[in-house]
Amino acid sequence: MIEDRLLIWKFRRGSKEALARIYEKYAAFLLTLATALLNDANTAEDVVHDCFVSFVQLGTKLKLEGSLKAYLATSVLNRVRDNIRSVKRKPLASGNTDVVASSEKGPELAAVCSEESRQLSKAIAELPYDQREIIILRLQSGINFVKIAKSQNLSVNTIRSRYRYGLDKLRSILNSEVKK
Amino acid sequence: MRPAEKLKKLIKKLYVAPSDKMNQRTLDDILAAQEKSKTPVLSKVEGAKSASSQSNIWRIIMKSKITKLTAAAIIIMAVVLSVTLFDKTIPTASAADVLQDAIDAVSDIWSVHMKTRMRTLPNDNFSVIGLKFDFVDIEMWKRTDKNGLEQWRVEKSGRVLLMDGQNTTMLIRPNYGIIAEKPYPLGCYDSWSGRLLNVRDLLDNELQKAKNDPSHEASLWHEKVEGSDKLMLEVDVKTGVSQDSYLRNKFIMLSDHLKIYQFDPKTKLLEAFQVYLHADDGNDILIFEVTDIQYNQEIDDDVFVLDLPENMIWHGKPKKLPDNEKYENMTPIEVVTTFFQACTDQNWEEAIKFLPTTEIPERIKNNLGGMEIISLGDPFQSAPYPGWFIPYEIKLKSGQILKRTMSIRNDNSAKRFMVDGGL
Repeated sequence: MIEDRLLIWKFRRGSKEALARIYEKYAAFLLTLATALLNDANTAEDVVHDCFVSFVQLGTKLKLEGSLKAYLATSVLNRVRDNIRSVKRKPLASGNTDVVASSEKGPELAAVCSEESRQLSKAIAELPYDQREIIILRLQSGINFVKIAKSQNLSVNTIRSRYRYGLDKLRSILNSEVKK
Repeated sequence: MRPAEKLKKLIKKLYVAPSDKMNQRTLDDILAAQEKSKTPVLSKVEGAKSASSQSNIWRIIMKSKITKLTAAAIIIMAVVLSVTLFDKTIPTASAADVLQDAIDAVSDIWSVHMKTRMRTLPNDNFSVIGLKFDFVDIEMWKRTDKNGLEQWRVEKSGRVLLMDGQNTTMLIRPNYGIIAEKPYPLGCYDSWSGRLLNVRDLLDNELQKAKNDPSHEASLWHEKVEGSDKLMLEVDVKTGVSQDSYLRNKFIMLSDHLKIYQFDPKTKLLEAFQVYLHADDGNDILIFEVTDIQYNQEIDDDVFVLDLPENMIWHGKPKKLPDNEKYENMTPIEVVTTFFQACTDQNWEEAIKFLPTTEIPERIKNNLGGMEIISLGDPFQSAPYPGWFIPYEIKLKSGQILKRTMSIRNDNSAKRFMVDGGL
């Protein structure tokens, strides 16, 4: 937290190093979030790119209400939602999920993880967006239900239900994949 | 069926690394956008219409000569209330009010016990710092009894500084001491961190500097720390000490640094404090931090008593020698040469003429006896130190090579140079 405060402080004063460090620190986290929600690597990259550009353009006008990580995550989330709305019920791209891989780095696990992650990403993409977002925010980004509920203007119970339904559906998609 | 826990674990492990292409493109674009968004600070003054438009208003005000006087009367700064994710409220408050509240809150405090750590050396001066030094714990106590008697103690593993209400004593372990038969204030003998015990003066000082000193740029905000709302005060200090100054980054007060204070918004009490030094390579290095503060707790009487070893060697003011003039006329390089030669010859009667002590500590005799000078550098001065610095390289009797810088000063009644540090 203190490191982020310092980074913001330096960034506001025009430090290129601070800006580069902010990007380096959060790019992968944001890209994972965007990719998991969009299931489209190219669009996810654009979203993260635009999020950072917009962050920089705010400069000294930046009003950081929470942590830097939360601020950037919210920015990505808003852009993802805009993107989803703009393509409305258009089916999500499939087969463009190669970039999703496990964070485990062990070489022996890489092949297994890669296949598992590919299956998982594909399954996540089949979930309704509202369930997908809750599952990703809760599990991948580690945001609690109360905060997710606040951000979506919904009750915590609704969020919990969608999370549970989403997980059940995800398991059933993955199990049917295995049986194929 | 896949177990739910395994599925959750898999989702948690999802990870997408940005490609080199994306990194290049985004970094290029954001750095260009940053360059483009840079506008002269004063041009933003017109746009800053309310106190809620972030804390750099202070900087803007202080850089404008016209508004500087107004700023002395009232500080308008943004206070950003955060931090729960997705919260939307940003209330504002006067930084002067917040600081004044904190000053009032500590007015009735009768005891402070503070645990801190600092990048310093255990035996060296309390204020000396080094970017590559390890952290050394410093513990401090202060109390005022019912009769108004003030006592305090500042301690690290190699040094203790105690003011027991009447005398001020510094013990440099194992057996070297300085005593003044006076109750000196906190901060004496360069005990920089000791000043933190005077929480009220500390805050008042920050408030005055924030009002009047443009080299101290202050901002305030609220932040959630471990689930609790905290008030944070940042003070960025530009000392103006040039980069080639020998003393720069060797003392906090001679280094550009950022101070971060943390207050409890309810009690207004100072709860934590950190100092980051702006290193010349652009990094900010944590150099000092308060790790724990206890207010108004009973402190054991023993804390304010110093157990001194029987073989104490006391620091004393140098007396005029019968042949004082000979030493008075020595140049810095002659002083070092003569002192080291006396050590080489183990002529301690001569060596002590350059040391402000009652006798030469065994540590110095053992270390320097029989040494050889390898080289001496050019003497130089570095403000605000009133004496001279002389780099030296010597070979000890043990074969060990020492490369250090000795400090000498002659602002004493005998007016001859005395070794002040660097041995």
